Amino acid sequence: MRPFDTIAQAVARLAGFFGRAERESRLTDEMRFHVDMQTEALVRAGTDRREARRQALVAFGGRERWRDAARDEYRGQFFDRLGQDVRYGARSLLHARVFTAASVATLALGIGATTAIFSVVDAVLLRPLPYADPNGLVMLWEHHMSNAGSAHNVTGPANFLDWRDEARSFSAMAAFVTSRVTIVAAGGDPVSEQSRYASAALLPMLGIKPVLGRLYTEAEDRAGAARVAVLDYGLWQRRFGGRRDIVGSTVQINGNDVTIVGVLPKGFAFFEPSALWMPMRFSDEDRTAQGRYLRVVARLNPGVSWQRADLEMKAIARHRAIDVPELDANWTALASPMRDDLVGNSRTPLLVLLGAVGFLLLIACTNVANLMLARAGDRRRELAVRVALGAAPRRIVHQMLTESVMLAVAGAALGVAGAWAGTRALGRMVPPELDAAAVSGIGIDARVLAFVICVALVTGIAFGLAPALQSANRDPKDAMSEGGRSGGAGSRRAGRLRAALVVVEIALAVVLLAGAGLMVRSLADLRRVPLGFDADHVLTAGVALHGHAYDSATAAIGFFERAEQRLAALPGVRAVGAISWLPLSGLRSASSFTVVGQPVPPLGQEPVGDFRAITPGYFAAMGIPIEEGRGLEATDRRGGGEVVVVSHTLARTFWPNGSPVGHELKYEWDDWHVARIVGVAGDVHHDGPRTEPYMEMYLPLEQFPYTGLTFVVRSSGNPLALAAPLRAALRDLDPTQAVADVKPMTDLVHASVGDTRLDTVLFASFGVIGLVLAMIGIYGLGAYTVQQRRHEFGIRMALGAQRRTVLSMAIRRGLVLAAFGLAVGVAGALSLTHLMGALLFGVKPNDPVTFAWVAVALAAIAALSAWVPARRATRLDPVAALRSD
Amino acid sequence: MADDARNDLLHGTLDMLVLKTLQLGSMHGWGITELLQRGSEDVLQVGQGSLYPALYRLERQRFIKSSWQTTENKRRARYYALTARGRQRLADERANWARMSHAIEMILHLSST
Repeated sequence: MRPFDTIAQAVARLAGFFGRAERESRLTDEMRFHVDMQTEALVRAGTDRREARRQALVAFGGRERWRDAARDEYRGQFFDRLGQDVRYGARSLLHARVFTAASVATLALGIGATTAIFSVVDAVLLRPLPYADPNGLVMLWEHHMSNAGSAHNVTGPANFLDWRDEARSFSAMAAFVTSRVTIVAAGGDPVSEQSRYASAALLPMLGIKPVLGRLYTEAEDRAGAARVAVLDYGLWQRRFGGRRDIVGSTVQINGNDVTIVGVLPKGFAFFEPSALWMPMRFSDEDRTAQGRYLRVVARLNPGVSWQRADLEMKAIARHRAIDVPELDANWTALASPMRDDLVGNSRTPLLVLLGAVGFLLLIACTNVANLMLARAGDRRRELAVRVALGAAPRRIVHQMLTESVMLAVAGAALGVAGAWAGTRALGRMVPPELDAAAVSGIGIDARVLAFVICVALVTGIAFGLAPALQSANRDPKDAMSEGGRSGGAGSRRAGRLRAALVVVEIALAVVLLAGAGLMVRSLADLRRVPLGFDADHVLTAGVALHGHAYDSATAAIGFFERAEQRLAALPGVRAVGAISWLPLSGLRSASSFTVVGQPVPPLGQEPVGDFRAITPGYFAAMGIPIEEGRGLEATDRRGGGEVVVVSHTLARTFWPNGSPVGHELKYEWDDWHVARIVGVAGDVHHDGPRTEPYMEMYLPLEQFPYTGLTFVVRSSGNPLALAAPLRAALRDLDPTQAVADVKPMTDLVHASVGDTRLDTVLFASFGVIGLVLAMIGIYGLGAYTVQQRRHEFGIRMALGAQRRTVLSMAIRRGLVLAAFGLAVGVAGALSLTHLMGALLFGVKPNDPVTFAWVAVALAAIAALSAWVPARRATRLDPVAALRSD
Repeated sequence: MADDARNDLLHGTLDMLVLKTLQLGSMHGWGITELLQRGSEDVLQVGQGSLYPALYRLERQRFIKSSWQTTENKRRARYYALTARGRQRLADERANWARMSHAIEMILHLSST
């Protein structure tokens, strides 16, 4: 058997099929020659030349008929045979219903899961971003050298304006920030919408053209220019009914009259969804402003790499650190490709999952190969008869491969149907930034289908080749005479191959299970992290005050005070508070501070902490314990001496042994402030369980005025029952203000481990499916062994062997294979799980507890899967066993 | 009647006859028909509708090979020649044929005694 020969011939035949012009000309030439020769012969025999030609043509017969026949022979029977094999295969597969159902289901699981994960990988990592020339887009960030802050820190207007003037690597640069604004259209209720302030350069840089009206211009992107905005397509449809006359009309945004100048195209998005786009309107004062809140996007000049741009940014930052140390000491700047920022942390989990699902597909292939080997055993007489009747070994291989590819295609069809449904659930794996960027469009498209077709063909051949070669290799004489009995060289070889496949399958399942185990432990650990507050029974609702009525801090404070009184009076409410940045909301405002009386660190190396403005009721409403001193009180007024409550981490950092109460902190926020520490509050994981608690400073609203706060309402029952009364109470207080994000605090807690939960569920399903398939493999091999050796067992039992002896003989092989597979799998898992380090929490990739559990679980299941068929050996009736064929 | 006899005879034996003619030397398609017809004293008349498909089939099975050559009257024609495989195949088929015809003869000579 020479498989390469077979393949070469198939290719040659296909080439013959496609080399059509050459073939046709050969047929025509030969025919013409033949007719000419015949004519000459007739002429020589004395016939008139014309008559001779006519006779010759008649003798030649129907031209098309012989040409068809000749063509068929010439092209070969490749396609004929394929058709035959497919028909034969279909009959044979339909006949073996259990085998076919098991194989198709196994492959559907493997291919379907792979397809679903691939469709996400494709959407997130492979497809180009939906912007003009996306490879030229970079994000510019700052980074604090202390490494205390984010690797990609936002910048401020002063630095942005300087970069835009200085940097030579870019053809355009734009800043943007997302913010919630209140919109009032003529005669409508106020609505709160997430919106975007962005430089005029941004939208043209992305290659975006408005569907209606125009984009705003550089001239409109200056302080003092007339206020304009463009609408997102969604908002236009949702709030303005898609009216075309919206362009040129005026709406109120945060109390200002703004003219709508255009509408953005459908499906356009950039980072978070934004309903409204407005110019930044930077003024000259912004050139010296403090504070960092801007993200910056830039387009590289042709021929400039992002790495070179990155070097230039770092050089600019070094100069800034010297020129404006009060702002930029110890800060650096950097450029990174935009896709990295859009994809964020999802790359590693996606690739790890793709690897895991690849393993699952391998297990499925191994399992089906095993089933096919078992079936080939059952079919060996059928095949032997075919060989004896003259079927070439090549033909048998061809036939078997056709069947396996048919199985794979059926499995793929079923799998894709499943994946179709599954991708909806997987939508969550796309980072929200990318999802909004409309890159996602996760689903089964032409690219994914092409992938599936490749996978189906490759798997079909992968699991079909070994069994096919195996069965074609047999000597028909052997197979015929061997009958159902064991011991033939062929069946021993098949047995060894099956054993090897089972070992591979177990090893792969062990790797998957280890990954699943690590994920499950991580998720459990994540959920066990005390977040520092009690989320049960808490409802949250955001209000961002707007309008000239609240221009003064006192007016805003007055509103929140009255609102809290109203909410506290609602039935079922036990406590009410409010905070500027709610835990787990993803928002924070951090700044440097110093401790009065302790040595002042050099400029730029001061400690950094979070500042949060709260109302006195916040700690009680959120269930955050006060560990020392007191919380804030309504009497902590500006002028009566500034006060602050610090978090446990801050207290322990600066007063590891003593009490911070009575000490003072100094910080700059618009102005220099010195605040006396009155208490220590418990630590809160503001950015979720994976992030350590920050150093927090809770300040009274009077000291740290905010016009946007989130109410925290603790109820005695279901918090959602409070949603309607809460809205009504706030509307009653001031109908011009919008209430946003009314939801239970538990939603935020749930979402904070959402990624890990999804990864865990996927991993665990892969692990369980892998384990079940491995079980089937062990069971199948055990059953096969018992079947093969039933004569032997029969004789042994007839000679008086104990049941236990026979049982142990029958089970031993399965256990040995399982042990082998386990050893290989554990070694493989140990070398692979470190790749998923980024997904884990609280456990090491080589966590011995997880590995021990996997080993125990697998050993137990392997023993069970081997025991069931082995027990059958002990129940053999010796007489029947000896007699059976 | 005569037609039927020819067809029956040719059925399944055309390949062998073609191989045999080519054993005498390489030849083009028309030459093969001529030779079969003359050699059998006009009993065997091979239709072109069977000959060329047979030639292509044999070539694909690598029993014969073909190439363009020039005839003695300077015409371009496709010449077919036997390969080593073809020679072997011819020997096998001849042996089969001999066995088969011997068997048939024996049956036909059975007497009712």
